[in-house]
Amino acid sequence: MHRDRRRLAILIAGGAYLLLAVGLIAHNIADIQGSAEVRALLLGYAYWPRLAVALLAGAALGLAGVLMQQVLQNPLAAPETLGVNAGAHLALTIGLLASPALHAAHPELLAIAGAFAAWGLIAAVGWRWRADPTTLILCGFVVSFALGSISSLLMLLNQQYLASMFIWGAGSLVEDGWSGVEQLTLRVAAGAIATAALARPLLILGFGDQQAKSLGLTKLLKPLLLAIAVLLSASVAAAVGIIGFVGLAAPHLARVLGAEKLGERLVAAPLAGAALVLLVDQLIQLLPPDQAANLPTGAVTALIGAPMLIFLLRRVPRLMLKTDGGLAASLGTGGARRPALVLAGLAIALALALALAFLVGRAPDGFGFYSAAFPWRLPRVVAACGAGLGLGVAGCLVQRLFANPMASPEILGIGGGVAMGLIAVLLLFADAGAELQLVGATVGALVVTGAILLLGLDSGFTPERLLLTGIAITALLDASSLLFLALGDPRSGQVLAWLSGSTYWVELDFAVLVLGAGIAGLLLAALAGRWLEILPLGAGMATNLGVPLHAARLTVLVLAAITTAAAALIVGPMSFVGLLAPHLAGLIGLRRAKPQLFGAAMIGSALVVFADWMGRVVFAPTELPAGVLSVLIGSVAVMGVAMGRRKAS
Amino acid sequence: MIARLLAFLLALLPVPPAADEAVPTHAERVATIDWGTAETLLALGVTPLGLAESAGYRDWVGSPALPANVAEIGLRATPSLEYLAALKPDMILSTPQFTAIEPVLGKIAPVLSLATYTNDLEPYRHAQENTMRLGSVLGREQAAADLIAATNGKIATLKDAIGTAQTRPVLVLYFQDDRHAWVFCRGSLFDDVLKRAGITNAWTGGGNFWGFANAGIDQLLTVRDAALLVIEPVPPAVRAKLAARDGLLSQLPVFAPGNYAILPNVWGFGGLPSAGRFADLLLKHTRLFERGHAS
Repeated sequence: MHRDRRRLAILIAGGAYLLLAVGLIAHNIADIQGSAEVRALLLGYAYWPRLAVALLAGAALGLAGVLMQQVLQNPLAAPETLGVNAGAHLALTIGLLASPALHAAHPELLAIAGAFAAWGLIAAVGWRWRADPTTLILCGFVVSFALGSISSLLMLLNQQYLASMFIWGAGSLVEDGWSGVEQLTLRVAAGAIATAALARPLLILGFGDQQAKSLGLTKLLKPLLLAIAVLLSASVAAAVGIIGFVGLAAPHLARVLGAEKLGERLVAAPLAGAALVLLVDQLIQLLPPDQAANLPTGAVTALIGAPMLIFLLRRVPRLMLKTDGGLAASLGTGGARRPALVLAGLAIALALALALAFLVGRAPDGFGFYSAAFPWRLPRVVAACGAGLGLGVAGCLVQRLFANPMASPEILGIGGGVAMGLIAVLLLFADAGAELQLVGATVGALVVTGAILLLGLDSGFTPERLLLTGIAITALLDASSLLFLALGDPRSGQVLAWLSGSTYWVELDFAVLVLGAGIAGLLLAALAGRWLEILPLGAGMATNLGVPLHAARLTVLVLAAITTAAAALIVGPMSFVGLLAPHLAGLIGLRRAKPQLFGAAMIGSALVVFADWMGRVVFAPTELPAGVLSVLIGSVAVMGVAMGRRKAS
Repeated sequence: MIARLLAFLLALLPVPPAADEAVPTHAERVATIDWGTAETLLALGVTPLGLAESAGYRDWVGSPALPANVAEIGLRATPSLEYLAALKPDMILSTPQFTAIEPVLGKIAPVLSLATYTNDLEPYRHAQENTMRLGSVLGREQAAADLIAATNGKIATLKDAIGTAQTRPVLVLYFQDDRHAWVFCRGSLFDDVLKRAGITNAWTGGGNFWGFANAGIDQLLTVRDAALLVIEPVPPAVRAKLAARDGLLSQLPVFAPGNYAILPNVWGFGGLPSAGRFADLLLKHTRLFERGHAS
């Protein structure tokens, strides 16, 4: 009875979709203006190829998503979460700068090479934890940001030359004839045939490694299937750019629609992906052409797909997202005998970094004090110090809250909110000054924090949900900033500079405020030291020990949100300082809550101050922003730590 | 708590500098972070001490040529303060696009911010005003008047060359990649030049306050009976498609052989020198948009 009703509902939904799609297509075709000749050309060279490419791209991403999720037994695995897009982006950017001719002739080679390189990195860093879904996704996140930070630096230094990469990043489906469709059809067909041939072994993989081995499946099977998935998604990336969230969402959509068996999902997910991209793209084409041109399909899909994913994942069984500690377990050993001594050493290191950044500059005639520059350097040094301190504190808080050392305040998405607020202000007010931009950024941070609180209250603040919410918000930010950048607004240079975390514009009073917020956060967190000690032990233990669970989690979350927001205003939405600083503190033996807090605060400060100084002097007079350098240093260090642990164990 | 933090933040926001009052009425040593201002300075016979992203100026603006002794001062959005200070400028020139960093630049020298591209969509008029303003600040009133007159003269020459001949509308664009272009529309410097020369812009749609619209190439198909001017740099993929006569691009009526021309670099977001240069380039291609000559 229940099944029948469900089937009926799906039939009705499918029928409604078909009616809607056909209606949209008919309307959009009828809406094409011009003489008979123009209409024929537009239909033949633009409209139909665009429709075909939307279907192909959606289907390819859906299939890639199912393959990755099945092989890795991970509901969050997808081209966008596992580095394919970041790798392709970096490779295409380098290609465009180094050899525009190669980039024009064979973008797919670059995209595929980049995607495989990113996969190699993720495998090197996180393969040991592939059985732990959350940790593998976090590894993908870190690797994506490491590669992304290099792309950002290249974009920042060559903005005028890389305008086409902004369009690529936002995923435009505008087509020019059938050549793109032909290439994509070949690759998708090859991928589909290979998948069909391997469907039975693929099914067996779902029963676990033991079963697979006893049935005589070769070890090469998994890499082979993953390679098919990477090829499929990299082909889409090369052909049309980034179409966000389809690879992740389509398999879940298929599951919600009743495709519970793998065989069904292998068919239903590509169909769902194709249907999704087609619908978004036809909806965009309802707009007048000049407005539609400002809305690349890929970014709009991500804007719609990210919230949809949050909704869909509520239906994923909790068990599938359970984390067994993964990297966490492997890091939590040993402890310093004399935390006071270690902290004193850190204080000296921080003082040295501060002195270096404040005293030494680089001018046309080389390194020197340039004491006239002291008044300009002071706000930057104070701001970098405050931002790093805040992120160190926030990182400790978040990692203890989630009981997962791969979690970080960046992943909460608060920085993303700051960025979206800033972009909104720039879009609404053509000549927005610094003060208005700050208001927008602050409001954005508060809105996201509020949203996290609301969503968290709903689900009882379970770490997995918060993490997913954060990843979805980060994707939303990516989509909206890509939309802004793709508009080609010359102010995009300013937005890029800020997103990349430049301390350039910081005034002393604001810097002092950020430092004050960081120190206040540190002291308040230290007051909550007992909670922080107990929270990672789990909800049951915490309740037994008399910790008011909800109140404690809420307090820690608000504290982390405010310190992150203040810091993000300085170093941008994404720096891995919040992730790295608590780790490093743990590595040098500061493992109890309070020493780790103070240690992470000092390490975070020293890191950002040093990154800011490096950015000022390395390529002087061209300044590299502290935020991007922090991401680069931070993510590479996190990868190093993870790989080191892997060898040691 | 959050509301209090917000109030606290608002109270501590930096106060913007009282714009023009701090700007001296006279300056000799100037640095600029804007390419359009740089070309105007050069046209006035003033060599800026420093310019941001000077390599980009050479590639995208090109003319007037940048003397080798102009110092590089870093990125436009974040010029190096140490390098700027080493130049000892007595004024730094900026545009409203960089309002956010003006308080910082102001610590080195007074900042004069000159707006060309605004919501009233009259860049040519603003470029004239800015030229006069620069002329008076730099003591080059005569040079400024000459530049304005010379630019007007170039447009007048173009207008005379067309004479009473009927003209076709003209489409002006930068290609972004082989499927997307920025089409110059109302509010662009190029549109102002076309208008003053009595030529119709073929792009009737609106754009942003920089005067360009993002367009997929399928949108160009509806532009009929218009001449096309493509401005360098042209992406290799576009060249390849045109050479192979491949795809929709080659089916576009505006891309019929003999109907389009590729113009050398001219900066679509510049000042009077770019306007004059654009008028000069149009003059060389009048046969494209004079009726009866084009195929």
